[in-house]
Amino acid sequence: MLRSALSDPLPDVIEAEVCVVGGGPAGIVTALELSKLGVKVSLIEAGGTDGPGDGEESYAGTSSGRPYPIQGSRLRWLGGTTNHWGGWVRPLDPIDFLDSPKLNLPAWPIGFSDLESWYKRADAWCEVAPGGYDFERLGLGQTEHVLDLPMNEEFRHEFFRVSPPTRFGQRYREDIAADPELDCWTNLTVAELRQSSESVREMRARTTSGLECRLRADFFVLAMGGLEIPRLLLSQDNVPGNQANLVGRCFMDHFGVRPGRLLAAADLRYRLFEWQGESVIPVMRPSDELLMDDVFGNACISLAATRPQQSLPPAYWENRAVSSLTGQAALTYDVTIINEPFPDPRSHITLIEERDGFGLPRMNLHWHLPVGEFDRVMSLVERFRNFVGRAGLGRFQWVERQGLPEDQIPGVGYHHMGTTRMSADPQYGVTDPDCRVWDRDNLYIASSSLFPTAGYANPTLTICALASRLAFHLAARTGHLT
Amino acid sequence: MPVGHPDLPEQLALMAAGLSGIHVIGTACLGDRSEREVSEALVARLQETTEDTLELALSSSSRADFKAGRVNEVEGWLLSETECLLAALGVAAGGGAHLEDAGVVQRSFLTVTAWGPDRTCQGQVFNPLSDGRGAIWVTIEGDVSDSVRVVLDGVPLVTQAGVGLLTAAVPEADAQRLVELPGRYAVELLDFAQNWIQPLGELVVEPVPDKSGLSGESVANAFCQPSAWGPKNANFGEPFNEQPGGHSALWVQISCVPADTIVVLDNQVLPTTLSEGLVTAVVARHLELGPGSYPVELRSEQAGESLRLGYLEIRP
Repeated sequence: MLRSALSDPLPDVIEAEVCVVGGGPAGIVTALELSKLGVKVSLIEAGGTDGPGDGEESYAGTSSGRPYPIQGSRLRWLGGTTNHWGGWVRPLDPIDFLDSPKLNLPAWPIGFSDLESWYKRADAWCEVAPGGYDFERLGLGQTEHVLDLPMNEEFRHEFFRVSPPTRFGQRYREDIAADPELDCWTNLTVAELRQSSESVREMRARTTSGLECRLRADFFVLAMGGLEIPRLLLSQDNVPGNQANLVGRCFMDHFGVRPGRLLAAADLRYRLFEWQGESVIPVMRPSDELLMDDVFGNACISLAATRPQQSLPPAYWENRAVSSLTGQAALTYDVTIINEPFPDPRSHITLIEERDGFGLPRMNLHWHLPVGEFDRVMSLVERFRNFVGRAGLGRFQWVERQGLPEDQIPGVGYHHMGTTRMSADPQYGVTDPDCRVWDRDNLYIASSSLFPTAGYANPTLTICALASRLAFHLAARTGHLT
Repeated sequence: MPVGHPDLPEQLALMAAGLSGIHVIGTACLGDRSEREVSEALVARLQETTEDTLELALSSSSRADFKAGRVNEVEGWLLSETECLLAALGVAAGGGAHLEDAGVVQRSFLTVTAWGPDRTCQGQVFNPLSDGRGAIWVTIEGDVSDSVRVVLDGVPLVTQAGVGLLTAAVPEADAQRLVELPGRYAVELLDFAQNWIQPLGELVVEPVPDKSGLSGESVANAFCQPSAWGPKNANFGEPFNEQPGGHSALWVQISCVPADTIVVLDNQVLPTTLSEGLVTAVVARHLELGPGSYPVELRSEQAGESLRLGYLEIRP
């Protein structure tokens, strides 16, 4: 059932076995997976079904450190940010789950193998062709569409698949509306948790018109995204999961730079294209061996054809005496690198005095991404430029080898990660490996805010995989699965 | 030629002078050295390799340079010392002429299956996007490079590429200029990385008819100026302005029409209903309309007049 708290009669209490707060991909997947397993679920969305309604001002806040578009990077209606996502889909790499000395905090308490089967379910939710993410299986490596990277070298190929992109609010609206186990309310904002030191009893929710209701459930799942979840938690008198003062900390987003150009063979396709009936986007990334180094973060490198440079025109790379091209044309490409951010408690969300229309304190996001953070990125680019020269793949030109000044916004993914990180030990995180808030028996999180590390892959697939996994866990806890 | 051959310096000079695109790097690498100095340094470098032929020796030496860190940076480009010496030798030997920009070359580099809109009426934003900007679409076979732009009246447009489809938004300022001035505007595809341009055709902006004198095929004294009509855009395969029963429909707000007025879509007469200030017509064959621009007009046999309204744009 799909109802609006602004136009349908709002009961005093909405009851379910599981209450999911937030109607983005995490909330929709969690709710629909649960209801398919026979669990009675309420799904509470703050915005409308097709637009934000009057509540969007609730997202307004401030930023410090490096500027960040905290309002423009979010969408407050059913489907959440899938209403504007580009559809790039890929799991995290297995190495992204592993601890590393370069991280100040532990990485994932679960491994890639724990999520592998859930990633397949996530593919289906994102309407991505099955077939996995093994680049070798694609048979693209020996074609002229990608660089002929030597085996066991410093850089290797991976690829993204492409979702239509699935607009979760539109795509699954009929499923939500028709589901007898699912009670979905839009235009209802959760503003308060009623809780003991061990569990959440109920939540208080409000409309922009001033109506209020109580949400009751055996279990609660917060799925409002990596900024709203810590904001709601921090606004409670007794902040759940904050035993290590990590609620709202370790904010991460993927950041990208365009450090240079590459002169290489023409017809390279590090972009969306159709390959043997599949839509793919090839990229390059540092090898696992290179990532074992205590400096580099994971990253993906792509190329986009650009204007030729007089200083070294494509004709140069077509000379048989200097390149390995045999009769092929050459082209100049812009090189883009999208980088793994490292978790750092100095990158954090705090609350400010001003309150929104629902009575919730607004937030300040302090994005700690100093100029020096780009040093490791530029070091990796330096390795790449030597690598392409050594392998005879092309010639690299630096365009921007300095980090971006701190008053400028780099390319960002609008991926809000890390602010309620998952951990094996309550000392290093907010939730346990089952996504349960460490000190609350019945409060769970479904979001990229769980990510202890972020890799370079867009988070939606991992969000959906974690949400499916959480739904099965909760179905077991509610007695619907043995 | 083996790298131990006594004619190697002459052959190297000949090869180097014939290289393309070395003007900038060759000049920088040469510095104030003589041709002889550069040649000797290059021959010595090549003789360190174990390769039999000159080409293999150059390639091998160049890769070895990168491995050993024997590199030079020129204008930000990272070059091996070997290739730097080769480029310097080319310039010293009289080669390395500066490459003139050949300019944009007309070439058919994409297989275009359809594009649109190719017609619109003065004052009518064509194929508007959600933000109100007009847009041109191009369907193509296969995919397309990031460096391809749709160009309208000489202005490269912000172009989104997907598999089989390009969509290009017309900046507000240009859209205003274009739709206000009747005329024919060239539509082209530009690959700025390759400097290729491919003509597509023209976007025709037709003058708006008025009551006293309508241009082209429109002749109207009985009709007055319509205040609005629609829909002007629809998606291929989907009903537009869907009616009970699944048919699509067109509507025209107009205060004076002859009693026998009919709506004509793409030269097909539509079942038409007249009411005060409004003309409506059922489009039963919307599924047959492929992507493209279809003329819409009001016609009166009694008055012997037809009033061209504009075009219904079916998007792919």
